[in-house]
Amino acid sequence: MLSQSALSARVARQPVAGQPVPSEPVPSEPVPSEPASSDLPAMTESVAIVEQRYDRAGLWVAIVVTFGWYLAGVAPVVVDSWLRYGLNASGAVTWLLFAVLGVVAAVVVLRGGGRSPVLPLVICPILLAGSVLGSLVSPDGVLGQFDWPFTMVGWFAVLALWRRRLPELIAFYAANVMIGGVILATLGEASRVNVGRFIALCCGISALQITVFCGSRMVTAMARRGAEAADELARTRSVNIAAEAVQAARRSRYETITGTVAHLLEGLAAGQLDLTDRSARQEVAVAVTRLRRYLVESDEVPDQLWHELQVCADAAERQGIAVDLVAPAGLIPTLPVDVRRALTEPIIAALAATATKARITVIASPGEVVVAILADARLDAPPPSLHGAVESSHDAEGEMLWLQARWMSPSASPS
Amino acid sequence: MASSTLDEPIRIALIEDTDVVVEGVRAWLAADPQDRVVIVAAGDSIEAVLTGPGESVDVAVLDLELNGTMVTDRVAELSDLGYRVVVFSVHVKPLVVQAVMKAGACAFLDKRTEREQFVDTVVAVAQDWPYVTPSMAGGLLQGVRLSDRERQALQYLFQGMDQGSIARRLRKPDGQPVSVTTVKTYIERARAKFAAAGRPCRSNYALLARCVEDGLIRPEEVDDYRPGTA
Repeated sequence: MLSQSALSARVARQPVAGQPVPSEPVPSEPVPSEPASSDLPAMTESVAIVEQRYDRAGLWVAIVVTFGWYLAGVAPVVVDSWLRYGLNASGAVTWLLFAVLGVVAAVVVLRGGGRSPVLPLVICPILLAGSVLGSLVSPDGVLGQFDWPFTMVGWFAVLALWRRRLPELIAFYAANVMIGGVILATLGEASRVNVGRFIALCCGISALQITVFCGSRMVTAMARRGAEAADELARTRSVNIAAEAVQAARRSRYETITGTVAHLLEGLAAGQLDLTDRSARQEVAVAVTRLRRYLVESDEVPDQLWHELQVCADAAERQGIAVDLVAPAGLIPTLPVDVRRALTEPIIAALAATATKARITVIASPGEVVVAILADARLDAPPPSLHGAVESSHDAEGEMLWLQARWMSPSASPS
Repeated sequence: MASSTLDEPIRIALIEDTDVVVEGVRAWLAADPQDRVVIVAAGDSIEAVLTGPGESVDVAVLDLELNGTMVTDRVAELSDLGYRVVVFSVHVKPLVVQAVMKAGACAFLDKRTEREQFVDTVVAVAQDWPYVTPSMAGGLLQGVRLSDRERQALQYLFQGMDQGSIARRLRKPDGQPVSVTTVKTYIERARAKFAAAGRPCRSNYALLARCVEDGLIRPEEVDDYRPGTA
């Protein structure tokens, strides 16, 4: 037990500058080695949204044209026919049936359906039947204005086949044209002029529909490719950013480790480092323990500070020191790496100077962590604090050294 | 069961499954110049040790892990039976320490580092003194409201300082170090508060009675203190 004069107590609270070791900026948390994969599904989703938006725009064009023409162009013809030839021959029932089918098809495809063959298999045969019926009962023949079903089914087929392949639409048109041609011939209307008019009519009732159908597909595909390119660009950028962060963290670690061991290795190589000298041995012990701590700093464990202290204690035990690392009193809060370094650095320095035994304790609360060591150590100058929020103090009494590093949360007021 | 003087040696039962530890304890007791403690029963089973001569011992020393089984939950049962339990274990996590102390254990000794305090601890516990080992200090730091000085004294004790070193670090407002007696008072008051907040069992009552008797704590500070039961 020493006299009062033998007791020296100092409190160090200094910035990082001047400390020979972790002098390089370091990331406060371990950097992920892979880019954040959680962003990728969101990007793919954005491509799907763009594609869906363009597809719907094309679909609305087809719906507006179909129903616009059906109301403005066909409805007056039906009314005219009704007035002239009566209800039965007017085709009003067919008009209503087609209107219902058209609405059903539009609603289904607007909701994203119509990919299975069910919708076209239900609607297309009815459309063709309506077309045949219209041609047969039309008062002015296949080419007359009252055979509107023959010309109109193509638009409804576009809606019913909106999510199906182009050949299916073409097959529908071919079937409609063939049936129309057969009826034309059967009814004896196939004069040379009429055949010419029929061919022109057939071109007129399919070309625009196919153009709308294909045009929408092309515009949608272009939009999807554009979105995919933007998506890929964003993904590449995020990969680059992550790679740069990983590289920066590696460079930082490399520079930190180099700063720790390079001069020692140079000293050993040049024969200038005298390992019989106590301070040189302490310096080597500090470097070795720091290296071991660096190796575990990015380990994913529940209690990082405790994990790092265990590594420091283990390094000292390998030097033959009996270390009593007591389980922490209280729960250690999550601390950034620079705070953890500031807390372990004095312990590393004290362990390097310890002769035979040391007791390391941690007392923790949400706003305060106190790491202390009591050891038979002779430490000429304990290291200054590496962090503004970490205060270190020490006290020597005979052969025994007590050294404490205390972190206080910036939000907690000092007691 | 309490032995207020040491006219006769303190009789202990040692519940421990490792023969070498039993032999070690016998050696420490034999090395005590005053022969203050004797083992009257030893073995690796609570039931076997505490029947026969072990039934009326002053202190029961209990290893927390017997033949691979943790017996932490037996501490409360032994305390209720009126035994003064000293836990002697390697399981020194503050939460474990706190749990057995709350269950009624009188003291906790770390098998690895506090062997030298074995005799002193047993003697203190046998006389219901509010004795605190460094490993106990970690458990006492939590779960009970302490004054700043009491907390500080316990922190230094937990860190491994002896009472003389703690006294030098705890300074009065005029800058002078406090006395060792004052440090002892801080620590014992913290122990008494922990007992007052603990289970109503014989060991806690006896300790509180002793603290009141010594003027360490006032009866009105102990909510459920009942002198007749101590």
